[in-house]
Amino acid sequence: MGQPLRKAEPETRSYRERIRELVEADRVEGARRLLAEALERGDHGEDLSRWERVLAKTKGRRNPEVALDFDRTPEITWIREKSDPYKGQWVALLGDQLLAHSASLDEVMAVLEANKPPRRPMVHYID
Amino acid sequence: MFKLGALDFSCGRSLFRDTLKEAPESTAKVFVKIQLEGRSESNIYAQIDTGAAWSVLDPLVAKSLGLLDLDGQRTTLHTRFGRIEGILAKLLVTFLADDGIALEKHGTFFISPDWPSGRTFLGYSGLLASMRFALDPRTNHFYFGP
Repeated sequence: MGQPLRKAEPETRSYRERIRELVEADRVEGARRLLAEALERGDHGEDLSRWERVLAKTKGRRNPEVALDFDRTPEITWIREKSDPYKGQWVALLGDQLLAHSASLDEVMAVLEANKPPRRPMVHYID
Repeated sequence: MFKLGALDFSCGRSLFRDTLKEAPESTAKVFVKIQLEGRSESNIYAQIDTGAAWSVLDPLVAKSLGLLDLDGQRTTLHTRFGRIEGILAKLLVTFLADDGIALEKHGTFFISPDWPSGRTFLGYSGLLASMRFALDPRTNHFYFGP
């Protein structure tokens, strides 16, 4: 004789609890589906707005106003080849140009503040 | 830019690094240039991790940007460092371009002071799953698009 089928237990845990459990188990798609079910039902009396926010998929946006980044190879090359005389000092570099150097970072930053370079310089401690 | 037939696959590309001096690894990884919350002082290299659900923010970076105390969704994640408590919060990520146009996306980050500092990861479900990206390992180019 076969075993009698067990009746499914009614779910007693809150949506918040169940969503959190799925998230903690890295089951993100499951969490999204459960959240969608909760939002569709709408009668659970729970604030799920935080989960809505963190589980939402968002579209990307091109932003031409963000300045292009640039290759720091010239700065790295300068540090490798020319930094020996500056041991124990901070240097500010833009490309292969040394903009400022001092044992004091504040002094280097003050020079940069007074003569603002066209792009963000690399500030590096030579040890 | 990278084309898919006649269509643009990507809007920008940047050079990625295989290694980071501050996060030594025994094998090559992919570290790409990003900016967080539109703040240029936050420009960092972050590791692409398609095996992770969530992105994780270096707690030192989070602290410097005032993001450690964000009002996010509290949760616990099982990580290779054990169970870590923190918050999940949406942050604006900008993929910085060396060529083309930068891409802005909101991604879900796990932020916890207990996460070992030194590395930021970009995970799949909360960020990378809804954008285009491709790698050219011969030139170390990371292509990205909406």
